[in-house]
Amino acid sequence: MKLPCAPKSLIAGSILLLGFLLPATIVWIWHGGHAPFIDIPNRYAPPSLTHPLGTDPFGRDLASYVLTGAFNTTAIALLSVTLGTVIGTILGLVGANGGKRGWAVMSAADLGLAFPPILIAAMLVTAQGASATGEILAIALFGIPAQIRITKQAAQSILVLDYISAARMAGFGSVAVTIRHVLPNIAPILIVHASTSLALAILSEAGLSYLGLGAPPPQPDLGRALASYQIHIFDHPFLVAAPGITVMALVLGFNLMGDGLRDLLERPFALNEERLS
Amino acid sequence: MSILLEARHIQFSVSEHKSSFFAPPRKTVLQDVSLHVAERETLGIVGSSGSGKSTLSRILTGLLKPEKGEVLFQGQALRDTAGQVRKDVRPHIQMIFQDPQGALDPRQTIRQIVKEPLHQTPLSTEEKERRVRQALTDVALPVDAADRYPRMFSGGQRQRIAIARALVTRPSVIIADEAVSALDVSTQAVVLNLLMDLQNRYGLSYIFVSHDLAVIRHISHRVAVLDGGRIVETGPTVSVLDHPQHPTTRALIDASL
Repeated sequence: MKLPCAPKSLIAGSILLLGFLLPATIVWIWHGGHAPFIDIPNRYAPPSLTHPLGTDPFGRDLASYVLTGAFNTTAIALLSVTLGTVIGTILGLVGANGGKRGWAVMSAADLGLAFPPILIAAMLVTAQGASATGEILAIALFGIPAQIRITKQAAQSILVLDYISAARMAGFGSVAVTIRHVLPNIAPILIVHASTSLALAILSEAGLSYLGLGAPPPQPDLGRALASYQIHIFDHPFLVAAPGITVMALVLGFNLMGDGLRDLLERPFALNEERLS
Repeated sequence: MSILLEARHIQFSVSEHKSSFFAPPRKTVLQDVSLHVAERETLGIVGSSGSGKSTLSRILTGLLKPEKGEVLFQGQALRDTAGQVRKDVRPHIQMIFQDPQGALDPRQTIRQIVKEPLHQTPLSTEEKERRVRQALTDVALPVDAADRYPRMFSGGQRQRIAIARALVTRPSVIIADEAVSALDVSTQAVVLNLLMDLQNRYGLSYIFVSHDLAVIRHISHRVAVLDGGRIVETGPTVSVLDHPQHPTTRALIDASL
């Protein structure tokens, strides 16, 4: 895979994400993961050299607040997508191998799809209080049924191929066949789906915390910032625009990356390789 | 000539509507099929699509378990008491598949692909490597092909890789399910001649499944005609194809003219 032939959307998405996440990581480390300092006399300050986007109602630097929030949101999204992808993929592979166990898994996935995600999140929060952990679990849970179905579908299209029969004849069992042949061949689909899921997870995270189901203050959070500052949309537009645009950029970035990865990984190999003879 | 692989009274059926909640009607795919192949012999199995050819070849290799009847290798049951294909028999029966595209894992190198059937054999790593090289040489592929991927080869070359995979365990019988159907006519001839050459060299038996009478006539000593899951006619290739007794055989011959 040569870099010059990488799809434009992959490059655009990566630049967009890097543009937000690199400063976000620096700021997060700078503040040790905490919110920027409260400076009440300096509240609602307009943009200046010391505060590029001005300050919030507590006099905190809005730029670093939003960047820390972006880091937190992305971290939560990454953790929940990782969790959801691993669990969903394993269950999907079990589902693809059929039998009673496979049937049970697929039925559970269908049942899972029938529950509205917000309801699940609200239930989780009621059960254990609003926290980042609850949010991660809830978002992971949203994604699992779809992950199961995608994995199952992709794995089944591989399992009918003759090289699977050849492996079975060689004495490999279901688990070995899955690890040797199925997983490597469905990996591109899983990678593309994971990066699209990341976009969705960011949106879900912002949505949950907008509704007050996310991590509690003082942890900087984009969704909560949007919810509490929306009354200032006309008098202090930066307070709403900064977190809003950041969420949008992150979602767009991961979506573009997903599209680009799809073009890069799922195109037929034969196109860019010369044949032997 | 001693009998190498034998099928006795094989029966197999599938449920017609897989997702039906109620007990679905079962469709019989194979009914009371008996056949055998002797050492150094090629048995051709012909039949139109839907006659049960592929199911039969999968049962003969042990990939499918027959509902009734049994498959014997050198007079002994193919499956152990637990219903698994016996470990000591596995290397002796190999298969060449129809679609050279789907028969090779695109993410594995040719070496990994060809070496796979040796997985459960007690050979040393060096011996396995030697076997892979020998198999690639046998099918007239360059040894440096081992580190390449299937996408870098043409259809005919891929089928030769599939043959190398079947040869690597030094099998007694190879079951070829429409092994040349996906290839163009000139490549077909090359692959068929290669198979016949390997038969002479290693004393192989083939069960050659095809809908193509020209291919069957070229390669097989005996032929069995399959229709609707039953063997309707069997005998030496020349007599069956030149003096067909059963209407199905006649229809197949007419269709190929």
